[in-house]
Amino acid sequence: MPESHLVHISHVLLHLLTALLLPPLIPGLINKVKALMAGRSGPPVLQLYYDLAKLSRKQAVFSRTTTWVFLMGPVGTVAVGLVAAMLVPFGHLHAPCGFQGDVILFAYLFGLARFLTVLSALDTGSSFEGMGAAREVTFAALAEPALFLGFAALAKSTGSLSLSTMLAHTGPLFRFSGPLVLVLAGWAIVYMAENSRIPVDDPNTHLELTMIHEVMVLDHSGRPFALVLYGASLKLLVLGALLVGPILPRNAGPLLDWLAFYLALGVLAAGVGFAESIMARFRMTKVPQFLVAGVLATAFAFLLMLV
Amino acid sequence: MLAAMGILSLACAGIGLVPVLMAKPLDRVVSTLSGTEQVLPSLDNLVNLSWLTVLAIPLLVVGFILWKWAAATPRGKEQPTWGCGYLAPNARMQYTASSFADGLVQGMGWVLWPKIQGGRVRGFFPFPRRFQSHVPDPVLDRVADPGLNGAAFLLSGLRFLQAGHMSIYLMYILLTLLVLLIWMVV
Repeated sequence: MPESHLVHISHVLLHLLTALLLPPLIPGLINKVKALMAGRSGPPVLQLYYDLAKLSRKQAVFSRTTTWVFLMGPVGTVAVGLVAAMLVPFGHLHAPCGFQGDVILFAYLFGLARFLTVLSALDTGSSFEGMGAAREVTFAALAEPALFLGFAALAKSTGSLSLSTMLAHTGPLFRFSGPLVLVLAGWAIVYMAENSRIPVDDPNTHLELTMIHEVMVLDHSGRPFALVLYGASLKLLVLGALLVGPILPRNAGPLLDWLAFYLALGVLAAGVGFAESIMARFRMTKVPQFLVAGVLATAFAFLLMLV
Repeated sequence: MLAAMGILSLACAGIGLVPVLMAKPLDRVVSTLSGTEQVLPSLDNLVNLSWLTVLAIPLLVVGFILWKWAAATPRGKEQPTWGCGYLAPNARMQYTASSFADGLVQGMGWVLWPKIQGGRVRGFFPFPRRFQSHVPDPVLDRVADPGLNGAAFLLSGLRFLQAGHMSIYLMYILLTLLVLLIWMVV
């Protein structure tokens, strides 16, 4: 077998292992940074791995109003996240799967996961979970234009509709440096909203009236809840790859590229932890304004690419 | 009702999982609408749609494995849905479709113009109040229906032209032909 094939196979394997094993580390890093900022030692960085192992052994309590639809949310979130992880390049190496137009599939895979989570929440018949589901889809509807306008700006600059080329573009940026800053600013807002992080949502709150994502999964326990937690961390990784991809060093070589990717993810997690430590979550009525700011930033970036 | 919804859902899933099957019929629709052949490139040439089917296989396989794993979780006794300490919810408290859409309806109020009546409670020990909200269809109820009703009202003034006599209708045809003749000559 030629050496280039071996390198390619090892790259795909590393990509797969990263997508499978790394996600629970990211919330651990975020929580560690938050704890250190608050002067606490905090839980171990590997806490989510322990939690997942514990939850997979624990008994699950199901509401008697739920049906088979209830399991669709957690299962769909993880399955969709893993497929989406195969489309997005980790660093500047091409993703294992990629084709023209995969960018639309990528965005709507998460739409499918959200749809299944909402169905799962509504299946419980709980008013609170219905309320959380309504908030989730409302804010997602506002975050989606920002994501797509950012994609449009990247597509215009790279001439491709494939994530591997758009994010791992090895050519010069030409006039794109300025718009890229705006795209990343808009996507940072999308990252906070999609992952239910402060200032949009607080993953630690357990007050039903103020929650968004957490309130949708109140009735999950045992293995379904383990899937919910793992799916959330997977989303942090996959969307994080989207955010850090365009700013990683170009043509660094495979080894340095992977190192730069892991480092950038660590910095992103630390940045999220830092942001969550220094600010409170917005009032619910302010969240749409925050998301519209993201849409405007990416819209400006796209306009700059057009002129 | 459920069967119809099920068929539509299956059709949606089919389009999502095997979109290649829909590419050619869609191309035919586009070419019929545009009136000429090959105005737009074929959908199948623009996007490699078979990739969606290829990726659907791992999605379904992983989903099935996870489903089996999650369904095999050790189960405790079934309990009521978590009610935040309130143990007597009834149907009047259910989260309705209009509640679900309320956020977007409020946000898009400038387009949707929701009709809201009552509901505001004032003072201590308020009297019972009624509340109702309704979102008329912005196209059908706001534009098409009033537009067609207005047109029907205006055109009703022309009903005297339908006298019911064949001779008068023949005169209309003659007059129309005369007008066309004059238009041709001019």
